[in-house]
Amino acid sequence: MISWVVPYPTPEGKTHNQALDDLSKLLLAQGYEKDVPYCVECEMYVSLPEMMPVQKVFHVILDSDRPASCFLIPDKDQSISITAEKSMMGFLSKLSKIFKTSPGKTGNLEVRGQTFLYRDFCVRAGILSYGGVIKGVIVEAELRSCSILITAVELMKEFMSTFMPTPMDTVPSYISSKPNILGAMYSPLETIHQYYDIFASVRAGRSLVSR
Amino acid sequence: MDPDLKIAAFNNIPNQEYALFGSVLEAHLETLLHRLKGLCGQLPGNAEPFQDHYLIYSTKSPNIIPPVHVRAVRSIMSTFMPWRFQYYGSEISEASRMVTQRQIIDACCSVRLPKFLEDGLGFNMDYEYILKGFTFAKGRVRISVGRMMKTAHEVNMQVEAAEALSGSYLVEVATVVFGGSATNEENPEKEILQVAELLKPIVDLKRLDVKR
Repeated sequence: MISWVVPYPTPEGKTHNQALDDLSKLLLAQGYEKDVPYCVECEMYVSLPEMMPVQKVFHVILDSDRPASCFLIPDKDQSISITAEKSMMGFLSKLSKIFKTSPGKTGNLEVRGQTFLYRDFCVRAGILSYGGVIKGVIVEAELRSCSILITAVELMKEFMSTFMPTPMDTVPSYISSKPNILGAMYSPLETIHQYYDIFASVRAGRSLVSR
Repeated sequence: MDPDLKIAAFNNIPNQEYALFGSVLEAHLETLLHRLKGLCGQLPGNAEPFQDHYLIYSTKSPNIIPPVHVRAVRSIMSTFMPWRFQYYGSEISEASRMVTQRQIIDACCSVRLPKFLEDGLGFNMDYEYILKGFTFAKGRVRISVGRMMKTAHEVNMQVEAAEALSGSYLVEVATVVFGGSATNEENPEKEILQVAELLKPIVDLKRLDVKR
């Protein structure tokens, strides 16, 4: 399966929740069926300066659709991110003397929403919140019948254009920045990276609208 | 269904290891393997040869006391298998105990695990070795007989076993169960001791004594 994750633009004069409601109604009207709720959350781990001379920062992303896995993404070099079994979380709690989670910030980054299914097509639409403050609407479009990205780029564009307010004429920035994943087997880590890019821009205080 | 519940359901993972260790000289290896084959039967997975590459990492900062040791393991024989990350907690030290009991965190990981440990978490590699031998399973108990080998690196990142580090084979009898004895109707300690008893004249299995 391959997935594209993009921010869903909220029309002016509407709240993010209203935009999500409108999108849900549109998807249901198009024949999608409501499936399980989903949640993607991201926690930042920062090393304490007295414990490590060179500061290390990494992010742990959990996805309720991949409940046995966790994804670890270093802040600096994202090419060495790994997918690990959930038991890795037990080890991270052992490192609590060395790494502190999200210092100075209240709460986590998370996307919570609903899954919609139509045959091979799956749309996850959810609200992105940072420390309890709603930041926007995120949609993940998943094509379940294909594993090689390059064979489905045009199909993905067309698929997303059916529910996005403006036609989807570009690929998400993460995918265009990594040409080597186009022809390879698509792994869930690439989906998580796309979420991570969105999370990183929210942390940096940038607006979500650009793709 | 609440997505939180789905995530929480996977937090309960067997994490208590009960183990006994011993060693056997190369001259007696055949006798031991013969005994194990008889004990464990002909089921697939028994007397299975293995060759695992171990990389041992620790935190190098002097401020982290005690240092954290972890290891990354991969199979050399089947390269499509994932890497494994392993962390052992300190042993529950009671003098009366017959077997080693300690926490183990074992997680399958993608191939960039060593790089992540070094660059992402700031660990340093201490040493590496290859354990080459055979594994057996008797019920829930896993028995491995293996010899430590030096590693020889080749040009294309492949690793091979070079000469052996000693003339003897390590024998490990272990089982991993859920923590919290309230749910344990069975007795893992007893199972381990039973297997050890069956191997007695050939190999004398002892509890790991950290103080020694």
